[in-house]
Formats: sequence, C-alpha cells, structure tokens
Amino acid sequence: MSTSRRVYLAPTLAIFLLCQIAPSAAQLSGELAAQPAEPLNPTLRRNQLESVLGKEVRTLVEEDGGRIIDLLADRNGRVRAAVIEFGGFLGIGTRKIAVDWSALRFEGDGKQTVVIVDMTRDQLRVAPEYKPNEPAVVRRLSE
Amino acid sequence: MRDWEAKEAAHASKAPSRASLRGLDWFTFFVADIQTGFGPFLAVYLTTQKWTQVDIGLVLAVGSFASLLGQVPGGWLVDWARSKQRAAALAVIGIGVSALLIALAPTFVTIVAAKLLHVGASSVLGPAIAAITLGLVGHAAVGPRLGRNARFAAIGNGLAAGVMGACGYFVSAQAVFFATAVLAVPTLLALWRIRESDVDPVRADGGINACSASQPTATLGRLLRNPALLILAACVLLFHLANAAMLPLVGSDVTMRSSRWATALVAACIITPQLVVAAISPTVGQLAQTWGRRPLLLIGFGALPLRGALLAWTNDPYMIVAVQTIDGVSGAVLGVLVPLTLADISRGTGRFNLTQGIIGSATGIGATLSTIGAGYLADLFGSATAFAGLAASGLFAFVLLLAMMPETKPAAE
Repeated sequence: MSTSRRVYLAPTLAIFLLCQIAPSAAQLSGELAAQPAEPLNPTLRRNQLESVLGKEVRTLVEEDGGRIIDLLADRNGRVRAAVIEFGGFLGIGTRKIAVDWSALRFEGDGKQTVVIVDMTRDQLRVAPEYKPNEPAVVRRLSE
Repeated sequence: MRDWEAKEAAHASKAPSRASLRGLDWFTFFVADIQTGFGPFLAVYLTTQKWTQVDIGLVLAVGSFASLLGQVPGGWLVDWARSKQRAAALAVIGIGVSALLIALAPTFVTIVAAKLLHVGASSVLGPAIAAITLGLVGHAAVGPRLGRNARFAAIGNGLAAGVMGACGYFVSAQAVFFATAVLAVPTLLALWRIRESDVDPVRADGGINACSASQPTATLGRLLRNPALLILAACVLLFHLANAAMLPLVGSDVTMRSSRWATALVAACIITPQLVVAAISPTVGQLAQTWGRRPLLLIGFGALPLRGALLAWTNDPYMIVAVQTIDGVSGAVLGVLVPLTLADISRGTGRFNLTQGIIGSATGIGATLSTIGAGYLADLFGSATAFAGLAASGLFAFVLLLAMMPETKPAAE
C-alpha cells in the first residue's frame, strides 16, 4: 500500500508543491532517487501514475462522493489530506471538506483507478467545511 | 405636446405582428437556457478539467470585475445601435462561441477570453431584450409584456436548470457547454421571427433615438441626477447584496442536512422559485398597470427580508424548499417591475438601455459584495447569522424603497 501510494504521490507533489515549498522539492528528489536511476519507463508511467486533481471520489457504498479539487501537504511536503468538493446542483450549494489522505484508497477497476473514501455519505456531509485561510480540519479515520 | 410625445403618438397605431410577439416569447425562453451553464457550473466544469482553485478563482474574479465595468457601456451600445435585433444576434453568437471555446479548449487564456466574451455579450443581451420589448409594444403595453417575458424566461431557467443539471451529472460537465452552443441556434431562429419593421428603434430607447443626431438625448450626467433612478439603483444594490449569496448558502445547508435527497432538494431550491415566477409574472405585469409600480415593488422587496429571516430560523431541508417559493415573488417583481420602472424613468430621454446598464452595475456590485460578506459571516458565525445579516440588508432596501421611491407610473395611463 505504501509503495503504491508513493507512486501517486510523486506526480502530485510535482504538480502542486514543487514551485511553492522548497523542502518538498528535496523530498521529491529523494523519493525519485529511491526509484531506478534511469528515467521512468513510459509504459510504467502510463499504467501506474495518474493525476488526482479533478478525480471523482466514491464513498464506501459506491455513492458519488464528489471530486478531489486540491491537496494539502505538511511542511515536509508530505501530502496529508485531499480537499473534496461534493453535493449541490449545477455548482450551487457545494461543500468542501478536507479528508485525511489515508482515508482515501486507490483501487483499479480494469482500465481506470477509482478513488474510494472510507466514509459514508452521511459522514462526509456533516464534516466541517474546509476553509483555505484556516488550518484545515482533517477528518481522520478511526481504523 | 413635446416632441417625443408626438413621435410616440405617431407610432401608437402600429401594432406588432403575432409572429414578432411569438418570436419574443421563444427568444426570452432560449436566452434563459443559454445562460444557465455560465453560472457557478463553470467552476465545476473547470475542476473536472484539472484546474486549480487559484486559477478558477482568478477567472471568476476577472469575470465579475469585467461585468461590473461592462454593464453601462453595454446599455449605451444598445441605445446607440439602430437595430436592436442585430445587437442581440451578435450577443447570442458571442455566447455560443464562448460556450464552444469553454468546451473545446479549457486552457487559461481561452477560458479568460471566453469569460470576457460572455460578459460582454450578456451586458448587451440583457438590455437588448428589454429594448426589443419596448420597441415592439410601446410604453402603454410594456408592463404586461414584461410579465410575459418574465414567464418565458422563468420557464427557460427552470427547464434549463433541470436539463443542464442532469446533463452535467449523467453525461459530462463538458456536454453542458456543447448543449449551450447548440441552443444558440434556436435562440437566433426565435430572434429572426421578430420582424425588424415591428421594433421601433425610437420606442426601444425610450423616446429619442441616439442615432438621429438632430434630437439631443439625455447625457449620463443628467440621468444620474434623476432621484428616482438613483434610489432604485441603491435599492437594487441592497437587494442583491441580500439576495445573491442566499441561494448558495441555502444549497450548502441542504447539502449538509440531507443525505439521500440532497441533490434533488438543491435542484428544487433552484427550480421552485422559477415555477412561481412563471405562474405569477403576467399577473404582476397586469397589476402594475392598475396598482402602479410602488405597491408591487414593496411586495417584492419585502419578500426578501422575510425569506432571509425564515431561512435563519429553519433547519429542515423540506421547509427550506418551501421558503424558496418566496424567492419567486421577489423574482417576478424584480423581473417585471425593474425594467418597467426604468421605462417610466427614461421615457423621453432616449436612454432606456443606459439606465438598464446603470441598474445592471448596481446588481453586479451588490451580488459581488454579497458573496464576500456572506462567506465571511458564515465562516465566523455560521449560516443562521449569515442569513440574518443578508435579511438585514434586504430590510434596509425595503425601508429605503418605502421612504424614498416615488411612484413612476405616468398619471395618464
């Protein structure tokens, strides 16, 4: 699980953090160094790495759980949470919540990867709203 | 008899054809349809295209700012244009092209361009519909006709919300913008059914056509010294300061409070007021002729603080949907009475559409501040306080209207 997570983490960091947080760049190169020294095999890249921004999220019972719209990293550049937007109609009345990164599971269903959040829709909807200027309230999953 | 009165009398005998009136019905219906996707839904679409929140916020801010700047020039342009249909047609084409750009090339530059194109087109299209209406039927009959326009626009809004929402949910967010571009075609066809000869350009500007240079038209400075226009603009600004953030807050509350039916209930919050507008607008237009403008404006403006107070008080999602019917009352009154009052105020100035631009700016300023203010209140004190704050602004608009707004209906009618 942790290896597969790192596979997703790399492009994520590259996209969102590289230009903002210097330590993340160090972290990223550290992670890449752990991989084989030559550039990543293009087929491997195509099959195993996927952009997560805008990706749909399902809840435990396969309900529509919204979409990943942002990622939150700590000062070491580690992704800690995903901001998920859900609900509403025609973009009116949506809610944003920050979900602990470990509460998200990436599962392959044939061609595509599906992101599943280990929560029910009811847990999602009552979670406190995510606000960009304040420290995010991250829902931790009690496993 | 003043000159514009003589001109009006000369045109009074000319009744518009049935085809033109039908064309206007469908035109208002389809214009409502093609505008649906450009609202908050654009943000949803851009998230599906892997846009970051920063970029989405930037594009939306550019759009709001351009819209504030564009309203007055848009109205001025419609006054200046000899053919209101041609101005409207160009605007519809602009909106269609904008939708295509959004669907086909969601890069930052194209989306900013598409957004600006849409804002420019909309700032012409809004006044152009009212100008065509006034040009078709004249001042004496414009009240009931604006009521009919509002009915068709509301049916268009309600249907489009349902269809576009379903399209976005079941097909893709991109499909919504393709559908918008396709719908621009029947919009143009409806517009073509309105005969050029039926729309009197002099009537459409509220008296004197700006093109005929021999007749001096009122300057912006002179218009801005009209107390009725200023009071109406202030009331409209306060109204939208109260109103604009209410529906998003309502939707967010419903999303939080209802599990299974959240999507359907938020849809109901959007569509229910449109049903009410469709039902009562023609009556509002008729009543404006007999009661005058003031009593109806007071009802419409009074409904808003009542709605805000009820929303602050209730938590039940079904009750929230019920309260949203009150929004239909405000919607019908503002949809009919604001252009009607402007037609009264601008009568004989040849600047009907410029006054619409001024009110459009007031709407934009109010709506922009509303979202910022309500977001702030909701963050700090919760949604009930935000609703109460919005209701207070609505109450202020009502009191201002009650204390200062004169009756604008001409005594002769």
